[in-house]
Amino acid sequence: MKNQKVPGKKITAIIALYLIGSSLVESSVSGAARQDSWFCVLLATGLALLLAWLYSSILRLHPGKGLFDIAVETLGAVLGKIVCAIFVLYAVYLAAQVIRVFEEFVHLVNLPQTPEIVLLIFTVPLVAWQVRSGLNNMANVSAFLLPLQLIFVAITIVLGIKFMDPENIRPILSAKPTQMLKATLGVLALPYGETILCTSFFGEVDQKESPFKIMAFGILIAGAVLVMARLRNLLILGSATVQMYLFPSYDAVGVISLGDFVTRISVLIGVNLVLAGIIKVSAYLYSATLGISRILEIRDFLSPAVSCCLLIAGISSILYSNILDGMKFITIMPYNSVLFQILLPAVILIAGKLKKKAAGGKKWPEKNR
Amino acid sequence: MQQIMLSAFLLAFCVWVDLVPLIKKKEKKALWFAIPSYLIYLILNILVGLNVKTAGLNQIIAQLVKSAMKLE
Repeated sequence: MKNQKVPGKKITAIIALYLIGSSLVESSVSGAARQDSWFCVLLATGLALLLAWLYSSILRLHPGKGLFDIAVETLGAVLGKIVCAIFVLYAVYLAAQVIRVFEEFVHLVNLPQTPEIVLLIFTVPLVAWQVRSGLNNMANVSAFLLPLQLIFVAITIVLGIKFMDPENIRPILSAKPTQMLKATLGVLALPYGETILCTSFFGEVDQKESPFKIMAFGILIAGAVLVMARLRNLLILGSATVQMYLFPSYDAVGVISLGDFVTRISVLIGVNLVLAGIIKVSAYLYSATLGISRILEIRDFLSPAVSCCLLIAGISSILYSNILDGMKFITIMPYNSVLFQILLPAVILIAGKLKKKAAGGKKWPEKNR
Repeated sequence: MQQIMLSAFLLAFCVWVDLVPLIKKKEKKALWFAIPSYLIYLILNILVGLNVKTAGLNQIIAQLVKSAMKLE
């Protein structure tokens, strides 16, 4: 199954959608900078390239291998599998978090009378089936959906120009440096740092392609969308109103209308965000499935997908009692992300470098860099 | 009760398309993970369906992070 290599461009599409999928809740972490939050998203996009460099450094040391194979190879069977288990728990937890937020989103804005479990009945088989179909299938779906996402975001921006007030983002760069730093690091951790889980896909990516370029393009595409969406929300609603809404993207676009015949285009944004969310959950699930297969050494490496998806669905139901508590928690998430997004990858990189040095320091071909 | 019925429906579907083939193929390693996952899903949904008050997982993690990082 692993012989079929996935083109780097399609992995870029997965990474971009994976990051865009967080735009629904992104304002919760960047909100501290108020009208300058768009600048914090921009700054975080630049810093995310450093994270991409860190992650691609790990991948360059072990061409043709994914995160879990690398962890076991560099840290040994026992410690490596413990690190794999930590990443699997992280992926499962994040997937549960995203499923719950999207469930709440659909429940609040579209289907308030429908029990949330009904949404899970449709989501779980879809996501599990997508993952069981393999990375190539997921990549094809992402490559198809990404241009649609970009077109829809562009349409909402163009149609929204009439409703934008430049005063809403003035004075520019007036937030306190500590607020700016907090918001920037928040966006760096959620969503950019989560790219670490995408490094597990690189065992199935063509070795000739540069991991850094693949990740960097994905981050830049997502960064452009997140900055534009953030600016659109601020310009239409203003920072004070953005803070009041749980899902500001949906509400900002809800204001837009063109005469009497083009109204309620926020439904399109809803569909868009749910599609990106499904790709995001699929990416988490795929990563978790690979990790579980590596730990238990399961030959059919996608066979735990359905059971893992059920586990995610179960956990999502006990995360919090209401969406307001959930949103409050999102501001804490950057703190617990340090371990998964910086410390563990740094340990794997250092261990890999030391091991390579001890083995004689062979250099990999230049085109893999 | 609605929650329990609907989650049981989803569980039955997953058992049919996933667990039964795993048992037929005798994939012991995959079953080691699958069976506990199915049980956890069922138990959690029964608890939610019966309105049993549990401390939210997020709350537990938030307390751990706050105490570890000495946040207010």
